[in-house]
Amino acid sequence: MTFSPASAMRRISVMLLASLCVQGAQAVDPPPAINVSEICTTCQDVIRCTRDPGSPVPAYPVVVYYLHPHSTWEQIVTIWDYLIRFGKPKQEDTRELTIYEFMAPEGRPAQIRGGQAAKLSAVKMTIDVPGARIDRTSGQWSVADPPGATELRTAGSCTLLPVADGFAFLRSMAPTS
Amino acid sequence: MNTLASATLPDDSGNPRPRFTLKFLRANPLRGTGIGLALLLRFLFGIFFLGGAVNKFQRNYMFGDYPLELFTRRLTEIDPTSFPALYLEKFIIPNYHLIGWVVTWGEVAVAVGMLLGLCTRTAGLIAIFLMVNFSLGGYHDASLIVLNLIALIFVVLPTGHWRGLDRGLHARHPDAIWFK
Repeated sequence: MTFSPASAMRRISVMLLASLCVQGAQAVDPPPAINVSEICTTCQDVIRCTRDPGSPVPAYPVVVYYLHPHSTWEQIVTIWDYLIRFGKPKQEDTRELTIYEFMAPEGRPAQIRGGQAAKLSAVKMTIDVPGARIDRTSGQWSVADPPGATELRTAGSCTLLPVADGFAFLRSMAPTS
Repeated sequence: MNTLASATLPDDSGNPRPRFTLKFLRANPLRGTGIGLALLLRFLFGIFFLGGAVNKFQRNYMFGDYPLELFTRRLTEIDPTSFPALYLEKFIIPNYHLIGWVVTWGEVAVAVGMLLGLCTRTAGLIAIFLMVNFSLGGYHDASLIVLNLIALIFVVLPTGHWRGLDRGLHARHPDAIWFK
């Protein structure tokens, strides 16, 4: 078998065309229900979870999770973080969390728990919050049952509020003097 | 004394700026340490931008629709009434291919400039231009302030003369502003 530049070029052309066809045929995944980012340091995400009517899981009917932006220092540290990963996408992140628990869809929260932590994983596509887990792909909300247990049961579903609605919610929760 | 004098005086090329060597460091521990740290910072800065550039090639930033997805998503993450939202919507997103080219080749230029000490001051200016635009485009965070200040060091100080290709190129082309 002899090497011919012309045949080699033809082979390369066919391979390139084939790879382009394969790329073009790739299915596009729909965006996840809870589209939050591990790399965004300034994002403020507000996730509203609603318990399914009649669900026996011991959870407040409505729980709102506020994922805070990173602090100034944490934002600066991302430089080092990025250097260590050499530009590879970050797969996990931990964000400060405030939990607002409501007895009804409207009105003031029955309980507010600040200073909590939310763990985001792009590998598992989950957000782990104290006593619960949110599936980012489907929006499914699973709560520890009984409270404090490690076993989780589906309680309802969650939605990520649009940015404007999230800001409006946070303004409404701000303490009034 | 002779060692100290030879290490601080202009070298054969007539360049008054010292060339960073171990000999220079021994003779000028304080200044040498400062210069060494600036060069280390420049190298890390180059690595940082190299990582960014590699990522842009992997994501097909120049020819694919990845930047469009990224910018559109970013628009949903930031305050819709803010200036970055307007900048994203009216300028970045309609020109995402152009932005993809500018960012990719800009990051390559900064990485090459910083790692080789080639056109170092210009590379610093390009880095500042890119990062200011990242901020305006809704990607502002505190790390960009620090990175801009670091880039400013490479614009102000002759780090490419301390170590890098700028030194030799400046000797050959003394009037060219690129190698100053």
